[in-house]
Amino acid sequence: MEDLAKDLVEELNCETVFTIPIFGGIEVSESVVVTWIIMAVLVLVAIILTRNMRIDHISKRQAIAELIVTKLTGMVENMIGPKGRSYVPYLTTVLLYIGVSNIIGLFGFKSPTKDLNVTIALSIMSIVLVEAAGIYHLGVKKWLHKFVEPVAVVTPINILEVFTRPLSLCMRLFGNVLGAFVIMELIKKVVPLVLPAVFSMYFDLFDGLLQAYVFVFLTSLYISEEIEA
Amino acid sequence: MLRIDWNLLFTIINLLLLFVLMRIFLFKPVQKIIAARQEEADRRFKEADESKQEAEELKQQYEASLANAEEEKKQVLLEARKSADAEYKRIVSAAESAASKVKSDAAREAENQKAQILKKAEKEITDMVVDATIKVVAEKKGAAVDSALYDKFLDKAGDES
Amino acid sequence: MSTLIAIGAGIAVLTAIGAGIGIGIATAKATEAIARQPEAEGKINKTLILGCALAEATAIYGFVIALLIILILK
Repeated sequence: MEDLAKDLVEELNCETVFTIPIFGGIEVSESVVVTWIIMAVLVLVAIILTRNMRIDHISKRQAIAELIVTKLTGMVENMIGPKGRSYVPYLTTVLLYIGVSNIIGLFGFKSPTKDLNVTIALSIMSIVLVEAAGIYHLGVKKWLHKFVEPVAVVTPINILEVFTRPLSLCMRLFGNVLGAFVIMELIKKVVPLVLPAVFSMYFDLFDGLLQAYVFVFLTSLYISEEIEA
Repeated sequence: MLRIDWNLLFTIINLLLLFVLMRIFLFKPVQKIIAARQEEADRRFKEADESKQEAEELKQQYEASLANAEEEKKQVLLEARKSADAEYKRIVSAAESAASKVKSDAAREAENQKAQILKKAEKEITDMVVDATIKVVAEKKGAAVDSALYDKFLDKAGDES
Repeated sequence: MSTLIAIGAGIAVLTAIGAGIGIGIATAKATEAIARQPEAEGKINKTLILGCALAEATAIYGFVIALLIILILK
């Protein structure tokens, strides 16, 4: 039992890959490095898929690229509505990133979303985007006025929401990935054959992609709520 | 796992960079190509519309010319019929006139013959009368003789006719 | 001390009750809805999965807190 706990903790910890020797040493953790790998893979795939694009007689590559882009952007557009069209590329990028980082554990990398830094960064960016969208679309005055709606009594709750929303986003993603990981580790410890593969389909693939979807869905929900006049 | 430090900032920078890169390498080109295809499709549709309109016009022209031909055909037929009618009438009238001529000729002939026969008869009657008169004059005199003569004549005439 | 930590972690994981009940109710209603309107199955399924994912978050919070209790108070 002690071994299991130790193993788990070791797996859960994000190790420092290297240290930048300024400001007394900045430790660059594994999650950031894996994020770079993901970025490189995504950009490479994008470049390969969108090379030599033509209008007609398209190649299979181009068809795949167009299918991916139109499906994903269509999905995000459905969530956010026609008014928030300008936020679609960012949300699609986040969707791709979270999706890939949730299933990259299958390839032997440590999921970046298992690091609290990454999920916090994602949720901070989400809440900044939400509030910025509110200010941009409504103007400062109306945006501030949103805090006292529908009645002035709920103002503290509204202000609190600015903090609880990213917290819940962050913790949901982090907890799901972590929980899936821990359960998978336990299953692997108990039954090392066949069964982990079956559960991995659910916990790694399905749940990972679902959490990416949920994250983007909630962010777009907040944005569309915010930009509603 | 629960370490919160500079990596947060790195992740944010990474995300922004990824967003920009994806925009440049994935969304922009695909959207551009889709827009270009839309344009192309619009252009093709327009072209197709135009050519369709042209075809329609041509078709109308053909139809008009076809209708003209029909009209002409009708005209020709009508004329032919008319001329045929006229010919027929002419022939018929010619035949009729010929027939009537033949008829009238025949009638005239008959008249002539009748006249000749009449003339002959008259001549014979006259001869007979003269004969009778001569006979009577030679045989008897008086009214009694006259009546017998008439009877005789009448008898003869009755036989004759 | 470690017994108390274990008890605390166990209590934290009790949040899963809420998620379980919630997901159960949601699934029951979804089944009813599909029985009533089979043609809307796709939409209902999508909404159900999304709702389940959101409801599951409560259980996940409990799990995270339990894990934190174990790992931090160790």
